[in-house]
Amino acid sequence: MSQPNIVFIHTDQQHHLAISAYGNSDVSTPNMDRLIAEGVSFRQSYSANPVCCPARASWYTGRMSVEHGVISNPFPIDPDLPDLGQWLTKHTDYNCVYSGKWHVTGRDVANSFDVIYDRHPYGELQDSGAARAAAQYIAEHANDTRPFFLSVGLLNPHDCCYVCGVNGPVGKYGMEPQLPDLPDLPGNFEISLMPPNQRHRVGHWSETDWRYYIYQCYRMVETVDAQIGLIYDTLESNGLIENTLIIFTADHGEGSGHHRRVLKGFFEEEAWAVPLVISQRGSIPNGQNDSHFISGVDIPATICDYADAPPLPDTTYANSLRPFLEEHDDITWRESVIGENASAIAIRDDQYKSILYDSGQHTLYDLSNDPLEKRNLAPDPDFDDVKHKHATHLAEYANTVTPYSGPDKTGERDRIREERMANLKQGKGWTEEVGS
Amino acid sequence: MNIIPAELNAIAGQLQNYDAPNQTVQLDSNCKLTYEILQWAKTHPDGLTDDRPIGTVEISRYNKENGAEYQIVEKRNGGGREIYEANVTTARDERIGESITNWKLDWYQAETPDKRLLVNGTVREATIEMNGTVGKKHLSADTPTSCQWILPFALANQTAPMDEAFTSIDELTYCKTDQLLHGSEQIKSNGQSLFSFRHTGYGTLPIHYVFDSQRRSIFVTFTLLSWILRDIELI
Repeated sequence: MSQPNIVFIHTDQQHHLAISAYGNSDVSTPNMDRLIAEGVSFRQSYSANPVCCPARASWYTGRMSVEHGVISNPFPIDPDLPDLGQWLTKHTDYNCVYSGKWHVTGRDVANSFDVIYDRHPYGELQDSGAARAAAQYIAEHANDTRPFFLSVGLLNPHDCCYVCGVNGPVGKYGMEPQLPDLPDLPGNFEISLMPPNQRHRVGHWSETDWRYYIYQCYRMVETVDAQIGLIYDTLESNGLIENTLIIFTADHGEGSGHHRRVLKGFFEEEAWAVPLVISQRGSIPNGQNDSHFISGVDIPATICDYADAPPLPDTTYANSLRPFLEEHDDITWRESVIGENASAIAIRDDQYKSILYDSGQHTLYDLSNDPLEKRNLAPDPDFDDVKHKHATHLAEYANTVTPYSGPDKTGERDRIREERMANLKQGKGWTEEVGS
Repeated sequence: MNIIPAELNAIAGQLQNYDAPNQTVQLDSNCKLTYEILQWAKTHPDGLTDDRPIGTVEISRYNKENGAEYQIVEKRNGGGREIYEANVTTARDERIGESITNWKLDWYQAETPDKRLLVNGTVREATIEMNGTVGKKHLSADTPTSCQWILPFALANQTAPMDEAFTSIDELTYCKTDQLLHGSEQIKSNGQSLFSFRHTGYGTLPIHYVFDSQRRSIFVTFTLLSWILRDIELI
């Protein structure tokens, strides 16, 4: 078999440091750690849009949100865009198979992949079965002459938001009076960026409530870790581990109490950054890449590259990570990474991050000297050169991408296309202050 | 206002009208417990819940001289219509009541009964050996082993306080060391005294095994899922 099998394992809403191999002693992830020990960790990896559907649409089209149209969960994808399942089926010999959470608005996964296990809105019901179905498929097809591309969507730790009462007080707080050792609160807990729509849900939480929330998030990470182990063990025991490219990531991060926030949808590191590990035993040397900025759109570009398929069409921002995995010396790479959502666009480089809100507010962090993002430097004129540099990069971005112009009853996509992108091209919107 | 113990939060809407099966039974005799699986859907401002039935668990226990044999059938509608069929043999264990010595699990989806995931296992001399579709694997287990299908029986006769480490073979597939069983703690529901054992550990959100005064395991509450005892049959 000339091409490797490709197994793309993705969790939902996992904080990028919720992995024991990265030094987090509050969580135990022996199976993620195995992948890390055998592959390359991209430690500067970011979601294209830190919300479920847009991030996933970017994984499967190689395009940014403004291009594929899914700017937030309710917005359907451009129906004319090919996705990774369709693309590999058309251009390669791969069997394209799907198990678990899909969640690309407006597209039926069955039109793109051979579905072996359907999704369910709760990870507790879904993830074990999704992993089992994946393991069963791997064992059954271990001796096939055709390679497979198997995408496994694990839903947890996403559901930490349910069990802690974010969407209803089903909190399983039955551990008192003997609470276990709860994780400490993060170092930026005191900087509250809690938005109004979270305040009514979690604004009343005590510090113990917050610590218990983080505790539960970690247990859910461990649960999916065990399920990843089942898939890994099956690949190994069936003799496929050296001929399978394994890509592990998450669609977005999780607030986990940083800035006194839960969930996702914003551009502070806890929600925007994601874990990303790529391994293939014997072919990819172990290592850590902490100097290149990776976007979620780079994952499909990498998959196409390894599958020997042409790049997905008209992808303006995506690049294959294969040169890093093959340790090329002469790699030209982006100097910053951009993310966008329905209310803001963000850019980070090797020191600074700008978050530019459509409301006109601006946050600027110095990540080298303020990694916990406690101080907003946007109002400080000493940083005008940084703002100018970021404005230039974002103007280039706005001039490069072609926003999706399909029908939109809400007008939101039109607004982003006609106002946000136009402002970026003109360098507008860099003066107001936001945040702490 | 009736205060719902946290162990039963997710099924609070079920408690007021819940009647345990009439059958009383010593759980060290031959019997079958049938649970309904409920999925929490919503909690109302008054604290009551909507819970959706999504399957059943039937656990048949046959008493043996130094342990028991179990036959398990769990059917649930998750992402797919999943069916778990399992046989488990246990030996008596003074620490957690019973410890697994060997098992066979057969998992499949109703729509694709020809595509099965098989897991066999034995526990011998502090080593768990797993075999089947996922391949062969050896794991050390210096603590007793159990799983969610055995504990409703194994804990029934625990009368002394316990704080016991064990290895959980979740769904007879996922082997998790560093687990802890703690209990029992008395709780009240609708004026009824119940007692509860708590399972915590790596990859485990608190699971509670809740028994009534007749030592029948009437509720098992996971996170969003719960089991509620609907039938006891002597076999």
